[in-house]
Amino acid sequence: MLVFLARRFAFFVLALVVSSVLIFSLIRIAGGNVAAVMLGKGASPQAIDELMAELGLDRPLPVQYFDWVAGMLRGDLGTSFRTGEPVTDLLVDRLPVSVPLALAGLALALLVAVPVGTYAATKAGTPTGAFVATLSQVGIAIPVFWAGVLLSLFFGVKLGWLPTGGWTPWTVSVTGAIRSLVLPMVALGMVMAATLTRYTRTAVLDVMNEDYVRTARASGMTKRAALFRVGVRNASLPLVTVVGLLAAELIGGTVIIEEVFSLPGLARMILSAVSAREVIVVQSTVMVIVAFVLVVNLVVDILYGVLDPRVRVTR
Amino acid sequence: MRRHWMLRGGLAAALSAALLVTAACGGDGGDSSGTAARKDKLVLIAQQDPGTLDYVKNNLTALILWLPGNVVEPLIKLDQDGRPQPGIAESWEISEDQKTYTFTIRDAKFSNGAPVTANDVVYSLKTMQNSPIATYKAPYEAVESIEATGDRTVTVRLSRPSQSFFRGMGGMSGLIQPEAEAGTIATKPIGTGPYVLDQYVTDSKLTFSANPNYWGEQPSIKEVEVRIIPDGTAALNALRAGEADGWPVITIDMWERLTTQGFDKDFKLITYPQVGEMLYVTFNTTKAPYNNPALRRALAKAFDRQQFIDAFNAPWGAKATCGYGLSNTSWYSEESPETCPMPFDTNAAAAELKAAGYNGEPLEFTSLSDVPDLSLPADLLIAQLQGVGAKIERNALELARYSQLIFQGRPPQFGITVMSDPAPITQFACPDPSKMGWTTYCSQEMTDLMNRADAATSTEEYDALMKQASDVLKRDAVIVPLLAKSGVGLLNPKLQGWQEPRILVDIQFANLHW
Amino acid sequence: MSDTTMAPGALPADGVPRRRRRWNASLLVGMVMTGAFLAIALLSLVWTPADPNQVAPRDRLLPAGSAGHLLGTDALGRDVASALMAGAWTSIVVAAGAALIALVLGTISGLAATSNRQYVNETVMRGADILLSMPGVVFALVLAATIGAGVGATIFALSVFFTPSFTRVVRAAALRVLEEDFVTAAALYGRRRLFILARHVVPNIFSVMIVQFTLYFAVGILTEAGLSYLGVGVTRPEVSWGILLKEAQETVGVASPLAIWPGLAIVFAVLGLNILGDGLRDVLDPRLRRRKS
Repeated sequence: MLVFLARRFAFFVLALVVSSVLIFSLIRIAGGNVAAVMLGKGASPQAIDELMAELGLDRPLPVQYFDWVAGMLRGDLGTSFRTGEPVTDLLVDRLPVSVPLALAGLALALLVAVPVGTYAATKAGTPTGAFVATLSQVGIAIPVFWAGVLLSLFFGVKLGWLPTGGWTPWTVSVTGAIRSLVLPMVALGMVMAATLTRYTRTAVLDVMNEDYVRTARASGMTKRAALFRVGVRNASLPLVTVVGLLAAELIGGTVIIEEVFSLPGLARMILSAVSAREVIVVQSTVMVIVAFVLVVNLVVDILYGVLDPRVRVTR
Repeated sequence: MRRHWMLRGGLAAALSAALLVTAACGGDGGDSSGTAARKDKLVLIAQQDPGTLDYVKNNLTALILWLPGNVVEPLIKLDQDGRPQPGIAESWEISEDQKTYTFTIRDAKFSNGAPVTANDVVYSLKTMQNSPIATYKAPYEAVESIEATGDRTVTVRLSRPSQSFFRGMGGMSGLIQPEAEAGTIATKPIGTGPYVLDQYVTDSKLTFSANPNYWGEQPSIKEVEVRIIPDGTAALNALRAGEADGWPVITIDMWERLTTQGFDKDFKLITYPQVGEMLYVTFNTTKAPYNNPALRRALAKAFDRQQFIDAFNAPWGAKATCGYGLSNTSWYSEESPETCPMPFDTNAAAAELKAAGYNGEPLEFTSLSDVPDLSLPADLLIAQLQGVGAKIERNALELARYSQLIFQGRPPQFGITVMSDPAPITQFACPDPSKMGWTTYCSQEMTDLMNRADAATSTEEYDALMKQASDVLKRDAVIVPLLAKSGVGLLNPKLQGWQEPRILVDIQFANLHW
Repeated sequence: MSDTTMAPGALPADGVPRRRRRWNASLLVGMVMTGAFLAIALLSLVWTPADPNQVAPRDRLLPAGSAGHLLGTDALGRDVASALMAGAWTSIVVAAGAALIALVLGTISGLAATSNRQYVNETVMRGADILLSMPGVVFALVLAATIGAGVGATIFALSVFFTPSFTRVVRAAALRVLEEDFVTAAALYGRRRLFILARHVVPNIFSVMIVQFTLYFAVGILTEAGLSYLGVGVTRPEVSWGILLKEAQETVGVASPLAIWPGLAIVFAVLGLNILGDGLRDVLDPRLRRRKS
């Protein structure tokens, strides 16, 4: 067990290091620099060079990298070149948009997918089951941004019930903030629900074929009783893994849906930081997201290892 | 039965969540107490977040719309006709040779209560003199020294007479800030204007209130909120719902909807030249074949300006032109496609292109991919150029790379590009051919005319010379103007006193009243 | 954009126990849909009703069914039907290109990771794990913005994040084959490892590779459209369904039907490929159908 934990943790650290090097170099290979963007059309090359030096971007790359990493280890994510605001503050501004959106989307997806997926599994082989399976198949093919555009067209433009986009901060109006989040949340949740329904259905089907369910049935339980007394409890195991993987997908979906609805969340912050070559903001924000996903994976894996001894051996 | 319970439970939970949400939607976001209830308050919409408030280092429209004129003021004020009026300088003396300016500083206070001193003025001017923004720095080109020559006097000495210096003192280059507060300029700039910036919440709002220390008349509206709503539809909805009283600068992508959805009838549609921009094609004269004037003239005849007007579908928003200069420029004269030296004519363009020795080699058209206002014109222009037999290779770059290759490229790395900006024609001057940039046109003739214009001792002389310089630019087809885009806005019809910005790119709150 | 870390279709379409068949409904439906998609894309190479980049502002925003414009025109008067056809080809080039690169790299690295040398296995698999545990979309976004927009850049960005999934799948399948008796026999017979891999393993995991390719082809279409929608993927003059959707969204208040078409096209192509993938799996590789009686 300890060996498993140690190996798993070592991998976590390694993944963090590799990602930080990747993200650091990626944004720098890109042409263009923050000074040129900041100073715009009329700036002279000297002005650009001076600003680059002022921002510390003329230093050797390894120095910049270790400076950044050392800062992060101290809990300092750096400051934006354009506004001089600490990245931590920027994140604190954006999280109240992105986190509720992602969580509500995930909650909606689970709320739909788990019951529907289970239902589809019990009805496998019947027309109803096939219908649900087809529906989820179609749902998987729907791009989340199209769902967003259509929802915004219908409920925002045509009916005028909800904002087509934009953001009312929580501090200004709580209902306003919720209103801005409803459509993005539904778009995100529905599309994710399609994927998740499929996973749930397969997981339940697998469990239904497991020996203990068969034993339970053989001992006189009905198919349903066996499934729900014994099966669902056991099926939750692979689902835990799936949810871990879904964290990554959730972030991807949130990125796009924020753009569709012009929500000032993390994604728009990254996008605008990338296009303005605000390297520190890009690096630190992406690292925070990567770290979050890695932590989720770490926790899921450890839980999995604790729950299922076979995992520890194979790892 | 448990299966049914579970399914229903799940659905019920989903439904009740949905209901809760819908119920929440019934409530109204923000205050919509209506305009009548808040006579003292004004809510305006902005589409872009400035990101920073440091107006010395940034020339983002999102920033200069709101700060100059409201929070910070220039040394002198230029009135609607461009005539100088007292501002922070209550008076000034100009020496006979027009090389020494002595400004007397008004007994005024910054909004934080500190008095405006001659040292603050010297500090402010020197800060702008060193601004990385070329157009802010430009008026200081002839400046030799800036000194405080008394508690309340500042003397500026020039190496030669310069029209642009004195004009600059009434614009961004002349903004006055307190030296003691230099550190907070990016988040809380302080000035002498009629309003104080109370709060700036990134991507959300800027709030202003009347400056109790203002040296002039107190404004009628005491509180102003600029709400940042990036989504155009959301902005229109906010206007409709009465949550906002105006949207003074509307981006071009929303223009068509103003008329199709009847906003021009229910609101006051305002258009004005300032804040507007010129849209023009630039050829890179450092590279073949673009250094061939005959080829440039031939290509210029391929540009069908009417297509742009059609595409915008908002005839009040833009005007086809081939002259450089917005209608508020002092030497401006009305131009139309008919008076163009190179009018639209596909047959002539195709014939002249051949005559200019063009053999179908690919021409490079660089376009900005992440700015819709510029990628759309590129879509049109490329099709128009192809229509006269030019082979075009499109090089779509995003802003950061475009900045590096074109704005900063020495020599600039492009063939043909389309750009839009409000910068004056002087940006095309060529003071130093070795540092030639993307808009530099190193024609001795044009540069001489511009230098003579700057050194002119009278406005008439200045205007005449500038007009000649612009004619050279036009004739040589280096910069080919296509459109003059207006600033376009919507205001609550009850709101009075709107004055279009003329000199500074600013929306002045102080004139407005209910 | 769907995820880049896993193919949602990577699970059996229908886990219902059934006998292996040579032909099934999924395969048929999937082939018809994908065939139509490929045919339209190929047709766009030689013929479209109009040049998808040819502007005509005077004929802008024509409704569907107008003369000469089956699906109408966009805000600059470009023919929508032509743009959709051209977009189909872009989808194929980018998505199939990325999936193909990932297939090749994934096969090489996946086979390498079946090596007897533990450190090779570890390096390859940990590398794949690291890439898999990163939020693919966020990285693809930074990557695409970094190397600049365009078809080649988008293919590169996608293939980087597709490869590790292929590595894992190929390795797992290869390990199963390597355990088979005939392979052990070949090894005992003195065949070199490379020979065994090429001669015995690859042909036997080929079906797995095909299925995986089909599913990631679909994921690639979604992801390409998403990146292009965000403005970091393909740019004009190349036409992408993502770009069309983005452009359509800008005219939402004026002409809303424009936003319908590109979305429908994406759903059709992705659905067809996913169904085809399911059908192929059932036909080609009974092993992938887990625990079927």
